[in-house]
Amino acid sequence: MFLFSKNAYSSLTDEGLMLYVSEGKEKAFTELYHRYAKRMLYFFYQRLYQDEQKAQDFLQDLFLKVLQKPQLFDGNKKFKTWLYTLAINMCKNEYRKDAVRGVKVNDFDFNEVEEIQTPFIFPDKFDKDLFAANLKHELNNMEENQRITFLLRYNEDLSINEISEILGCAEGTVKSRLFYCTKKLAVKLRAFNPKNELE
Amino acid sequence: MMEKKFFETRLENLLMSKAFNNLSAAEKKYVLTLLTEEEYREYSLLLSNYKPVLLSEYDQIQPSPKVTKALTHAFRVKNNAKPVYFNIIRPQRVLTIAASLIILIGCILIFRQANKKEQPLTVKIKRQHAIDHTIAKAAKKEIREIKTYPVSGKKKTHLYAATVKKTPHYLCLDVAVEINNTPCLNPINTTAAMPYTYEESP
Repeated sequence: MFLFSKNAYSSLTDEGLMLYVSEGKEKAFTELYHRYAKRMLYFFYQRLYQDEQKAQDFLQDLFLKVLQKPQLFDGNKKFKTWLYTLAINMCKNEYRKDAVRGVKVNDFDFNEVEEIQTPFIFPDKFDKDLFAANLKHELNNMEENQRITFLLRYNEDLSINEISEILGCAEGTVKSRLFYCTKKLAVKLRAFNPKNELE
Repeated sequence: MMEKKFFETRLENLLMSKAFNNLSAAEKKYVLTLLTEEEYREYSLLLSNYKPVLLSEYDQIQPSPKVTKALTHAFRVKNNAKPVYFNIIRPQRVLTIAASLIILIGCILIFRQANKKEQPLTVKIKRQHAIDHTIAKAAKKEIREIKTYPVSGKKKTHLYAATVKKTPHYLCLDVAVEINNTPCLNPINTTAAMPYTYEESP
């Protein structure tokens, strides 16, 4: 398939590519898709109850918005932050629909969580799977603002400035949320600390 | 105070990359101005393990080919795009191709011109009369026709025939005064200067 093959646009910035997308250049769109498809898929996957099919649908919808209304992108801003803003708004809409349907956002993995073995007895060595399960569980129990801030920072490697732009809040607020979220998670996962095992 | 310092790049990098015991003395000194050792261990455990434990999950999921196909279709519908193999011909390439064609056509024309057969020339003649018995005697036979002959080979000179009529007292010499509507400045000399040939009348 030609559309999704490597092309000469790879040296352009995201913002430069968006100019070409608005002119209907197919390969520019392809390049943008290559750059962000996987990370956005994983972003949706994490935010939408680890439902891969749903994440794929949201990924498609997200890039449909990009290609259908490229004029909504403000060329003076970063494409990445715009894309994440779109994605977050899509997730928020989904949460609202779930609320109307009577689905509680954090209910999705309760069954899974019940199976998670809480390490009351400290594991002999660091168990990554157990740590990951607990981490996800605790993250899902975090306040939404803190959770999304944490994910944007440590999943997506976005800067404080970028996060503040995406979430529409001050950088100080981002730092504060990150700090409290990290602190809460660290305390919850304290049992995995080998130091504690020795004590 | 803590919130601001917590996200200093240096501290964040240390938390994500080094356990407390692996910190140098200087790093420990720096870290302990911001966090307690216990806090450092807890935060470091979280941040240093966060990415690796999620990496396997990240690697497992891939954008579906159906999504890429649907987006391709949507893009082409929206932009009424031709298949990409047509779009491969960009303006620069069109210019390159056009320039190549022009050069090729030019070469062909030059080649053809060089090898073109000489066309017969239109020669306007004027009859000259002279009393020149020597020549008249030499021309023993009557010559009637004017002919033009393309010279074989690469040189573009022509051989012109002159019609010479011999009378008892006169030599009638027909000389070219125009060649292809271009006047000959010195008709007689032109004729004389040019090698010429003639056909003898039967």
